[in-house]
Amino acid sequence: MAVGIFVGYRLLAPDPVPTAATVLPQPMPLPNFELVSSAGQRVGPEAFRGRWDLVFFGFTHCPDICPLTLQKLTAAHRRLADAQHRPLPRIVFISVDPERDTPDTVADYVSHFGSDVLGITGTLPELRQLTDALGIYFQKVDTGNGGYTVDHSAVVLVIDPAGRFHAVFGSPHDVATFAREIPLIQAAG
Amino acid sequence: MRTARILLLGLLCACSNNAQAPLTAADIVVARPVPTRATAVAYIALTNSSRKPIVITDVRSPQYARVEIHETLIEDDVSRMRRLTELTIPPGETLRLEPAGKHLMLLEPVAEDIRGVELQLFSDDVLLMRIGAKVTR
Repeated sequence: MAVGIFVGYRLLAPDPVPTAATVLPQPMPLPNFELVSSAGQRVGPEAFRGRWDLVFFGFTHCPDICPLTLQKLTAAHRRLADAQHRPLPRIVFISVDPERDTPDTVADYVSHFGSDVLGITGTLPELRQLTDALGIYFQKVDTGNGGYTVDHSAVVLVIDPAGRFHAVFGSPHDVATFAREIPLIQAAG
Repeated sequence: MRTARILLLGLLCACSNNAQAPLTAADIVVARPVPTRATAVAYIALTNSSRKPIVITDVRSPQYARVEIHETLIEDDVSRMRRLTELTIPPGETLRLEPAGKHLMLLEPVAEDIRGVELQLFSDDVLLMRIGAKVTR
């Protein structure tokens, strides 16, 4: 009897859906752009086809939000791997500080967050080509002592294997939320 | 007024090493967000047990040429970092310097591979407190 109720509940209950992430009703193909990977190779929209990607825009001089977000993404990735989840998404860090973040700088930076993290940088016009289309904000801000910081969107974008902007996680970010909702987004996608 | 404040702060400083110190520090973390980066960030919980506000106007370190007070704000999913000129700890309250909030940036190290750091908290050039911590990562 109890087993029957349980099975009936599972059959009739709606599939769980993401509640923290926002899934786009109509996934949006990435625009044309040409950036550079931390390995010095050209990166265009085709580099985002064939796998799920979690994309975060930041800069390597960022003291806490950027490393914190990348740490949370890698922790969620580890949690999914430990649970034998497939397909595992790739983590992508795109620098919005082209003045300071050369491919070598980005390569060193992302290496501290795991081997499956792709670092990307590029020129300001090429970055704008991508970020404007995705609604990603970034702006260089003078700190008054000869230095500068960069204000930037703190969201994590989910790119599907068709190379489309599929969903977005708003901040603040949480490891458990990533680990719970990424499989839901993938299953529904 | 300023003289009175300095005198008060001098008294605070003089007794900051005992258990009844008006300003105490806890949960101290000094870390390099990325090990190969020289810049470090410091998080501390500062508690003011006195009946007057304590205003920290400067932070210095023998190990770093510059220490700046910053605040990260997340508004409408945009991260913004701003430099602050002071930190105010209201009487009887704890001010938490923490990730994604107020924090100290330790810039321009005077030596390579700094393992330990001393932070000196000042108010109007009066030393309030020295804090020692290991640098992690």
